[in-house]
Amino acid sequence: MKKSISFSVVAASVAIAFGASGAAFAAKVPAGVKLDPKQELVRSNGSEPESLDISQIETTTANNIARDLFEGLTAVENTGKIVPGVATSWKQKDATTWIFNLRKDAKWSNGDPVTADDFVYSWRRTVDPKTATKYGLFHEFIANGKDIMSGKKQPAELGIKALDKNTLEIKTEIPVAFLPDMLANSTMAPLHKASFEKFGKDFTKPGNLVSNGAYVLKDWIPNSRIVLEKNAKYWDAKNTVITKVTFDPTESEDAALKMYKAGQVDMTLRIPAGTFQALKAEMPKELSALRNIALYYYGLNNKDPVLKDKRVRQALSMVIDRDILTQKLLGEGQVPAYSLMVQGTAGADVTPYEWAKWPMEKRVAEAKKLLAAAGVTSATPLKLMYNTSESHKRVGLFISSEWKTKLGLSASMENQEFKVFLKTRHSGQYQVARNGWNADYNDATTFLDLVRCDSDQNDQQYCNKKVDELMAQGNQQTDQAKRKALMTQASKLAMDDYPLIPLYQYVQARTVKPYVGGYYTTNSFDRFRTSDFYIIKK
Amino acid sequence: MWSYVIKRVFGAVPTVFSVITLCFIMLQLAPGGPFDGEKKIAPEVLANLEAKYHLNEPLHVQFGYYLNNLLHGDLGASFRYADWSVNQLVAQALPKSAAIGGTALLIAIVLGISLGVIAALRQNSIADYFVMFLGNFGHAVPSFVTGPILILFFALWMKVVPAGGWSYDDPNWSIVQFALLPVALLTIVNVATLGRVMRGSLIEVMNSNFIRTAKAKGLPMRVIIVRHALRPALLPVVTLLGPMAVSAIAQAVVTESIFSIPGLGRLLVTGAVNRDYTLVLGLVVLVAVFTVVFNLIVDIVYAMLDPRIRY
Repeated sequence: MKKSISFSVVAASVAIAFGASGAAFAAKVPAGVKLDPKQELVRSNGSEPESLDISQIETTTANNIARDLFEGLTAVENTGKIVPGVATSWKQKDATTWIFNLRKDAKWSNGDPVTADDFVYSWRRTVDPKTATKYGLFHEFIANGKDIMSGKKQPAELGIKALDKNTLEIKTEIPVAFLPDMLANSTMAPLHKASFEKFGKDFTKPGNLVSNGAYVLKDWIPNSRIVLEKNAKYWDAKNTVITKVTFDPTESEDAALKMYKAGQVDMTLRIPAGTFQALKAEMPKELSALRNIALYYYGLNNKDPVLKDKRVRQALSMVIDRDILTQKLLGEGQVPAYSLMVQGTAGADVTPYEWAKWPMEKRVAEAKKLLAAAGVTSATPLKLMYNTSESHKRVGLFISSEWKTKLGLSASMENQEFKVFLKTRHSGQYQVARNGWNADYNDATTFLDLVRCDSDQNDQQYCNKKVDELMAQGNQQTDQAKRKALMTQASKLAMDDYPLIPLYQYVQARTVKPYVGGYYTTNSFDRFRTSDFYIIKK
Repeated sequence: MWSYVIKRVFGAVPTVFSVITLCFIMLQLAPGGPFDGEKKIAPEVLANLEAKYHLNEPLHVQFGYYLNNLLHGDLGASFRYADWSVNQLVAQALPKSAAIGGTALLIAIVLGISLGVIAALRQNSIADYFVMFLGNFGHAVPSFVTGPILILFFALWMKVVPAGGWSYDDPNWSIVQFALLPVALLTIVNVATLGRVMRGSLIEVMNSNFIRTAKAKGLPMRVIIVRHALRPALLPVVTLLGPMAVSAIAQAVVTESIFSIPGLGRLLVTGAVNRDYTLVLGLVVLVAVFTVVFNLIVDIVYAMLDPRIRY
């Protein structure tokens, strides 16, 4: 897995120029595999998508569908590798300017050619305040994005320009080494202007939606199903094997698993909590887990009277046995975490705490010393909060028992409904709170946002100006090695202040029928496109 | 009677209005908004979103917008599902819920009343115990336990029905097969309630003076039951039917989630979780209207059953 990630980063940052023929990167059916005559796939998709309008989508659910309908400048293969999409090659002209060459054979599902202007139109529409997009990538990274969204500049001033029909120039706000990775996002795909203007708010309905990806929208019944069919006009249609894909929006993981067992769906999105071991025994070949670039952690309120003392925060982190947590309690292949970065993160190294290697007795003894020095006794109140869920509760009980048995501290537990919990956490009305971060692009900055001073994601109320300085310096670098060194340093510096307790790296466990080919656990961002799948003869 | 119906319909307007107002306020009071997520949105982005949905205006103005749309039959735009209006979502979900809930209710009425009558007439017999056992079982075991057991048995082991979903053109399953388990589950719950109430009510009627008179006149038992006992005994059952119909159609939350049915119950749950204000409000309006209508029907049926009631 590590190998594939580093490859994708190399592919992205070195900006290799790819040949015009995409065949080398497309399907994907190994020699000797006999295909089933019926190439139809049903994917369980976890919920009803919020939209199929690329300016409005944000969830995994909607992205799974949009990825099949729309293709951006780059795309993600099912192995997780970034590959050319509508663009065939690109190069970084200077620190903040990129040139993308578009393929000439890219077509919309109605036969119109996909041009550089379609991208310009789409992006400008997305950043227009009237469109009210929720997605922050433009806002954070594309030149003038933030000012346009706040109404200070016009959408036409966005950092994207069509140099000619097949060439785009993109300017970023800061040097963005991972731009090709980011551009695979469905939100950054092009928009078919004519059909959008003709149908208005109904442009995403079946029959109206004109798409440029491997599939077209055939049927959409809310909460029931979304059916896509192969787009004959797609430039790589000859390598697209699956002819029809259905997305099932069942929310309940239990219900989805039952439908999988009954043969109604070919792959689940995730499995119910606590069923991994049973499923492993029942269907070892169908169950798999991919490691996400995502961190499960406990946020500590750094301004809390008790927790503002670094020694207390350190002691709380030291005594938690991540090995027992990941192997015995969770047991799905989660990786113990002792740093801000998780394995596979590009742009910074994983820097585990020194004490992670110590025997537990030594860690406990050291933690007790730290607590005594900080004046914390067994009478000091601690409160741990989590959002209502059986699995978060189990982790919470484990952590509080670690603190109780090893340090003699009693932590009370409180759960809240998700949205209530988010408010509580954002407003700092807590001591210790469950938290998790799923990277939305593969770069260290997404995790550093958790500890940056004024970051929206920093619920810990932690601030160290030196960390911010290192990050800013790193962001100005065009030399990737120097940038990485600075980001690693920033991450280590922050974590030595113990602003939060890293616990483990998430995994995504799911069941996939043995006849579904083209599924890879190296895809750590869980971005699978149907065009890479195929059905093996049953 | 028509004047009574008209009076009731007009009388319902303030009721529905109060429900909407109360629900509107309660939704606003619930912590967390429709745009809160694990990833916090930047203030500029949030401002654009709030402007789009009028959330940046004072509450009474927002409420004004809502009522105005409502008067025009528009339940508004969904906060969560950008591509659909609440009207469209409800229009898609209502027929499915009505089909399942309606069928289940009809079966439950026939079964529940029959079983209740048998149990009442054969008090403390095996038949009575059986009916009462069914009744207690249906009440004591929640549907989120019964449902998965039904799926395990009929869908996964016997493979005679699908494990969930809803489709008219599925190549492997017919719509009847999709509907079978959810209808059965909703029926079990309602049969239990109806059977118990029918039994109690009929036992009471059978012990009343006018039945004793009928017996003294020498009427055969069958005639006594059908002509004299059944009608008054049905009154409490009919009372139950109003709210029962509303919950079977619009609030089959658990059943629809277990069987992944794209109905109103599932919309209600996801709407509440997502803080989709307009969707939840729209469904509440719908439930309020249903409640008023069904209760009105119940009242009319009362008059038909009980000669003492006249409007």
